[in-house]
Amino acid sequence: MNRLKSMIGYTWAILAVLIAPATFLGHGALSRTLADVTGVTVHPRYSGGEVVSRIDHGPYSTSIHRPVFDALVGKSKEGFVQMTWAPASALPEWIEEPIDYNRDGRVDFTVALNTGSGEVWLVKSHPTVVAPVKSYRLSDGWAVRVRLIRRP
Amino acid sequence: MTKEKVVLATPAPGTGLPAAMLLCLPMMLITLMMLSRGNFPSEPASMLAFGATYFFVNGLFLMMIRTGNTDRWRAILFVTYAVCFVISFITHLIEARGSMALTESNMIEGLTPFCHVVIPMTLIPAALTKTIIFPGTLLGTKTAIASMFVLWIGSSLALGRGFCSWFCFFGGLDDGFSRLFKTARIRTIHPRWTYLPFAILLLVVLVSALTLAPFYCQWLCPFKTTTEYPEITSLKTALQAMVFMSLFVALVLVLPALTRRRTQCGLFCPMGAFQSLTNAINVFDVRIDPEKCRSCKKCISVCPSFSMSEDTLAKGKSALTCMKCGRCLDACPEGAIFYHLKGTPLNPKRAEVGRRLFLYPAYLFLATMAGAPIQDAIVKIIRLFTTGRLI
Amino acid sequence: MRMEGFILGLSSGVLCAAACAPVLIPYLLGEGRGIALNAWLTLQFLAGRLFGYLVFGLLACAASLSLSTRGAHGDWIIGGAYVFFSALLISYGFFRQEASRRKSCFVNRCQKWIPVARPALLPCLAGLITGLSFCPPLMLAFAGAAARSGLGESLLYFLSFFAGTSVLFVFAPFAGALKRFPVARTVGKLAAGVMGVYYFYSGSMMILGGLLR
Repeated sequence: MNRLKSMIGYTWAILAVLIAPATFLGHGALSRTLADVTGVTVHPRYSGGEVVSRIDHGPYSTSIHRPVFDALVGKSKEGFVQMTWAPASALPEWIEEPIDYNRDGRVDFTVALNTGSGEVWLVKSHPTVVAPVKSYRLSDGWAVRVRLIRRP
Repeated sequence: MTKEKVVLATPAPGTGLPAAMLLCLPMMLITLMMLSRGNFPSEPASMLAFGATYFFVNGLFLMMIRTGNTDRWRAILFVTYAVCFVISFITHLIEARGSMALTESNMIEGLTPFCHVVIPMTLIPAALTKTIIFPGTLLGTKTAIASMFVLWIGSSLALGRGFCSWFCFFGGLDDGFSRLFKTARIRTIHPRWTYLPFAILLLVVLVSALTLAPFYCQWLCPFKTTTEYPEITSLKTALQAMVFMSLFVALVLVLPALTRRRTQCGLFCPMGAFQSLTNAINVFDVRIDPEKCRSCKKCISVCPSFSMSEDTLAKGKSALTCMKCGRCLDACPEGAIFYHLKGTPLNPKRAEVGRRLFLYPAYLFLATMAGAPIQDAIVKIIRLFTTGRLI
Repeated sequence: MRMEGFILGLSSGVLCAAACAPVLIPYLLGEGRGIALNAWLTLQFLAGRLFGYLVFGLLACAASLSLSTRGAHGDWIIGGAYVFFSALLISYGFFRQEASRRKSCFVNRCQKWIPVARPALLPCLAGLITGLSFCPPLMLAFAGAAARSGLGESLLYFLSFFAGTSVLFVFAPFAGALKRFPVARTVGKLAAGVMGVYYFYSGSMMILGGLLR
């Protein structure tokens, strides 16, 4: 038994010497494997959630992300929906756009954005819409998050 | 009160130069491959930086093997690495974003570099929601989330909490400041404070899971001061910046200098506490030969992570929080402390074998991690001298 | 936000477990009738604690009603209570390591009493007594609940606080798992101290908000 333990100890120590270069050399492939195997993604609170619809305006387009209410377990009472406009070079100075975030065929709010100053206005047409959270100047466009509450 | 002067003990019987060179040969070859990543630089400044880094790294390893001292040479590279990391990271941030400040736009675009300290905070949400609660990207860059996880898994498997002395790019800062004075001004710290990192770990893990935000990064990380911090746009962000700076000054600058200990790592860092748990399953540990030990307690007074105490001396091994830095090995006048492989017989006569088996993976991690920031910092310093501009 | 009560409860959970374990664990070990019975006894104990907490919730609601008529002064009072109790929590968590021994005369009394008398629902009573101890986390929870509006909100706050403090009791039936109790207590106290720092900040912000209003 002692001999076996000793062998395991030495084997692990030698493996440790191999692990060091393998970690760095296989870094890219291992990272991809880890991401694939675990299936993790960045939490939608940070990423904004998946894009569920895209409205083409010719030179620029609007992406509407899914509403984010994700909590640790289940859904939270408050959340947000993110809209992104891109590319930055084609955006007009003033964007005003009706948004149907829950895709029920009716406008839930109209958002207006000054792409020069980043000021944002909101006209609510649905009780779950609370207020704009903030506008964000991205590397190639603008994003606005609108605060929502979940229907009871 | 008497102040204790830390004197390096007589090293373990040295290795002759030819034998030491031979033992260094594998390290020289592997670091050549790691530091160059298959592409030798052609620009003069980069060539100079590469050459200097390569000889610096291997010179220190040669000294480690030849003299039998571990921490003395490790610390030089570890501190240099941390300083160069700060220079390299900040200049990169300013080149890319124009500022060290992290805006909310950067966050929602996933441009925040992921650091290993976040790892414990992400585990519960990852298990329950299959998401990572961090405003970064999963793949594609060296500072992406999956990349850091891979590096952490590899280094933890190989080193356990040795991670904190041979991998962490922040640890060198308080390690460096802990060596500022030859004597400790504050010598007694109540042992209960050594549990504080575990309390902080418990809290940040729970609060981060419940709020779905990395609480430590938002409120407690002293190293925001030397890397990036949230853009100050409100009273809250101003307060956060004040907390970061105060903790940095207290835990990374002042207390290490006064105590000669790594106070941030040993008394505060939740990642350190988390890494202690990996020590339980790692193969390398630090043991004390009871026959040689004269109970002079020099190891207790020099241990930077508070992992040596009378209890641990009685048990013949360092505590679970041991960072395997080797400072106690160097300080022991009797050579009674040694690296050991769990499961193998306790034979102090074969201590040097255990030490070398630990040093190869540990130093490979340190040299490879340190290589890129040191080269980058050298290039930038050369640029500063030749053009007057760092960025 | 109910989560706040839960987080406070969780952060104090180790401390609560540490305070209650001297009462509960010897009892469970003394009974020694297997995991299922231990779980039942733990549930009785928790029910007693829950009752104690709900009493605090009612008191907090009464305090809240009397504060609600005072406008900005209410912020100062609640903020002041936060600052005061969190300062106690910080002192308790970081500096007064022997405090719990002095504080928990209830606990000591129960400890002496329980091995002698074991009537039905005794664990429930022990839970109630330990639940009514005036420890800093509970006082802080009281201040938090008093900041809510209405009876329901105050009770919910205490319920979530109770849920947070009870998480570790899941392990109580496996009494042997709490062998390393002194370390858990030290870590728990320090965690409560760190949480106190957070509440100190919250209280200061409330006072500042009241002043700026």
